[in-house]
Amino acid sequence: MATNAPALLDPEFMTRLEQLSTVSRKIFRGRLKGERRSKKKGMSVEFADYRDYSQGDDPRFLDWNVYGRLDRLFLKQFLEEEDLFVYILIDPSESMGFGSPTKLGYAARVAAAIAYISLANLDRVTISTLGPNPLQFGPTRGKRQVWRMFDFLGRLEPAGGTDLAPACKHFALKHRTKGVVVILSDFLDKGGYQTALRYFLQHQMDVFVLQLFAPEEVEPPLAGDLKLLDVEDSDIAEVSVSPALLKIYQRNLGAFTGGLRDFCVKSGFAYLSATTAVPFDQLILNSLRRAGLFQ
Amino acid sequence: MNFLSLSMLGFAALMPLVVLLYLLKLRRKEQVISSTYLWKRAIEDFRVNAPFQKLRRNLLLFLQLLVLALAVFALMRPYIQGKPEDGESLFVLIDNSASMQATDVSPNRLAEAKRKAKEAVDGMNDSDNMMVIAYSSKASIVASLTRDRMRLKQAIDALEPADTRTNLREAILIAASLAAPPTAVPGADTGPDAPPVPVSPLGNQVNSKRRLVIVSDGRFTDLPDRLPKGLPVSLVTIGEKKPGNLAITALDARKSLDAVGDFQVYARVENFGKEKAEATLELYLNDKMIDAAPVELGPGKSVSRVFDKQGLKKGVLRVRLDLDDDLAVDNTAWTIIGAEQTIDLLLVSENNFFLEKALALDPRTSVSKITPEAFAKDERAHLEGALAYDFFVFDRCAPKSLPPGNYLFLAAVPPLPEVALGDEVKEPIVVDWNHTHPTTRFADFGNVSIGKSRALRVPSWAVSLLESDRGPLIAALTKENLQVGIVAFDIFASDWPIRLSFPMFISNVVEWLGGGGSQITSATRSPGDVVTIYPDRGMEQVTVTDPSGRKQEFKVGQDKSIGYAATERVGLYSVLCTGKKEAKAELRFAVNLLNAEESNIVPRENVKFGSEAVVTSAAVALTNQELWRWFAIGAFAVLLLEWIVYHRRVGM
Repeated sequence: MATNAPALLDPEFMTRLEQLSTVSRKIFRGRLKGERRSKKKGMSVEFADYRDYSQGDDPRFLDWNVYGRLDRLFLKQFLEEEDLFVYILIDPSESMGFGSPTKLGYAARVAAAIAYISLANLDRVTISTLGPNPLQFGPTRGKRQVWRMFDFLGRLEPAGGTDLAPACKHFALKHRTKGVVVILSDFLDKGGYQTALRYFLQHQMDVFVLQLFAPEEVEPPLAGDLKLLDVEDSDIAEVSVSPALLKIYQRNLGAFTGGLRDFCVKSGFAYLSATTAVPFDQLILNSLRRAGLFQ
Repeated sequence: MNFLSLSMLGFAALMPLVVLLYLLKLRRKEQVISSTYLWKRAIEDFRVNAPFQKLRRNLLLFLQLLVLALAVFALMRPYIQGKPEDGESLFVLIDNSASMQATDVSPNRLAEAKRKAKEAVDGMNDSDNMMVIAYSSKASIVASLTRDRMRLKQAIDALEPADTRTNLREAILIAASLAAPPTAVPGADTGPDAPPVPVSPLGNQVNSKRRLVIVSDGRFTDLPDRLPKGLPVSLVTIGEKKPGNLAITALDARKSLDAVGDFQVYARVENFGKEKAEATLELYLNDKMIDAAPVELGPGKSVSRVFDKQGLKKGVLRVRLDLDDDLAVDNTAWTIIGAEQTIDLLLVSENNFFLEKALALDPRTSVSKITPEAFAKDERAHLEGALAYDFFVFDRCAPKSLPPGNYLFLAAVPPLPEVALGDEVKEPIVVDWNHTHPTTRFADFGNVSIGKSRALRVPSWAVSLLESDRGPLIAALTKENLQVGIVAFDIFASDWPIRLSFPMFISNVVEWLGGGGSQITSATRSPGDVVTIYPDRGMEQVTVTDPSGRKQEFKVGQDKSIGYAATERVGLYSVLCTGKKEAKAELRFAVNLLNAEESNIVPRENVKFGSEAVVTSAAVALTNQELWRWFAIGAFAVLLLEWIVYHRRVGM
């Protein structure tokens, strides 16, 4: 907890989150309702939030009462129309604790950003860990939940091994509502990721697969005769690191990520891979947008 | 392949140590990573792609073991054996003549020859043995046939250069006789007509395999006509193809016969190099330069210089070439010029035109002539005045008594009990003459015909100078206070007076009898020559000091002459004769190379003994080719490879 909370709450991060939120609002302007690829029709009339009226907004949603009291135009926001479920799934396994900053920390920031934007856009946000004993935040919506969300993400700590399949099965059974699923993991699952990801096919979820790597994993700074210890299951691999072996490792890494991408493409998922060296806001604004998360 | 130092195999015990160190080193460093998932697959792929992965994983160990193995091999000194197991007797003839001092091979040819010989010693098997014979003007056994490598090496190291010419024939004869088969070959022709089979005096020490190796620059003249039978001979040539050498090949100092005190010094300089050479020819008298002349010579050319010097009396003349070439020993030559003196002699003769002319040839002589009758009248007065005359010449007559002094008798004998003239001998044939005696040097009696003579009886201590088939014709007697030359025949009964040897002999006699005191056969000699010293009467001890200052003492024996043979180095030798009552005489002689064959230092590679060519080889013994260098180089190369492999594995 101590490692992630301050990082999430540091002023710089907040500033960037706010900037991100503003930018994303500009992106989303004009297509508040129905334009998102949400499969659910907004039937509810539940009021969610106010926001300032700007030119071009539908005058039917102006709150005339408020106008009468304050002499200012506010637009009533009804989330029913946009009642989008955003599921953010974070792999909290020990392998995610690797790297500097840790992949988990990075995943938490990315999750925080997505959640912040989604909450600000009145989406229904659920954050869950993919472990044997999943921790869950939400579902909830509205900006008021931001601090709780931060608190939740800040408390995440790497523990246990990666076993995506049962966790995904558990999640899929529990959450049958269609929506956007963002999976943040390194997918270094010795049991394979295919079974796990197939659970999301059944409910026709909008799946965004975000594969995270530490730079040390892409280009291992290893040399000599080593006994490599797996952080999760204490598996041992004895290697004599040579340039040839490193080449093969990198080729395998490429094949692994390529395999996941191909699987995602075939399954209709959006796939992204990133190292923790990529600034998270850049990832959000460029990569995720391009992948269609915010379109 | 065999090994010279098999005991070094013990170092192979280090191999387990290397393995142990490798195992210790292989305790892998632990490194926690996120997942071994990708690594395991990489390792599997790596193994699939590299079938020798198992081997490669231990490549460093293998390389290290290889380095060690190669190093141990190098220490074991492997060699390729080219000769049979049973030993070989190697007779190495090392040339230490003057031309071997040439410095065209660093440091000089002799050192290179010694190095090659020692190389052969190093390559000897346990059953091999070797004999080293050094040869210059004479051959000497430096090391007798032995297996002792240390002794051979010490003997080779101790070998010193000589400034002499090369006499290979003697060396080969010695070696061939010593290298004869150890025992008579069984089954060979042992019939009564068969020539006796030579058997080596060394007996069974000589192995059945024998070889003669000549280490030389090939500058030798007197070769045997054919190779020794059944003894393989090979030549190891020492020397660069293009050495440069200027040499003084002739030096003579002559008195001008017309003016007393004038000397003509004649010197010839030859260029034996392949390129043009320049130098200054300097003339020194008693180490003071008195003249110089430039010489400039194309390759193979020679030039003569004559220095006309006046006012020279006595001393050492030295001619020196002022340059630094490949052979220094022939750049200096010495000669001695004697003191001026007048020789008073009394000729007792009726009339002898030839004798008078010959005696008058030497400008120093002052001849007083008297008839035998006149001499007989007042014999005592003439002889008592012996001090007035340096010597007497009796032509066909003799005095009644013989006081101490110097005499020459022609067709007569001194009144001594041991000497007598016998019956007449018709046409005696000249058989031999003494070449070293001061009176007969340079004289060639080969063309002298004698009509009649008388048998000459001389005591055993007399020196026979001219020998005929019927006994001595000319003899020299040296007794205490008495020096006598006797010619047994009448010169008019021969053609001797018209032969060159006659004035030569007379001139020598004048020198010998008139010069007085101690004598040396010649003032200049070649290195290696035997110099005969004739001490004056009453001298008891002779001390010869050679150019390097080494002294050798001789007791004067009964034959009154001393043969000094240690003239191997060029330079000035001084002879000190000492006797009773502080009698002292100091003489000097010079030893000069003056030998074109030795000065011509261009190595010759094709040598023929008669019609048989000698096999040329590069090393004294090709047979033991040591390989340790290659193993050492290999070990080094593998060490480098190991280093590279290590860095490729460790470095990024």
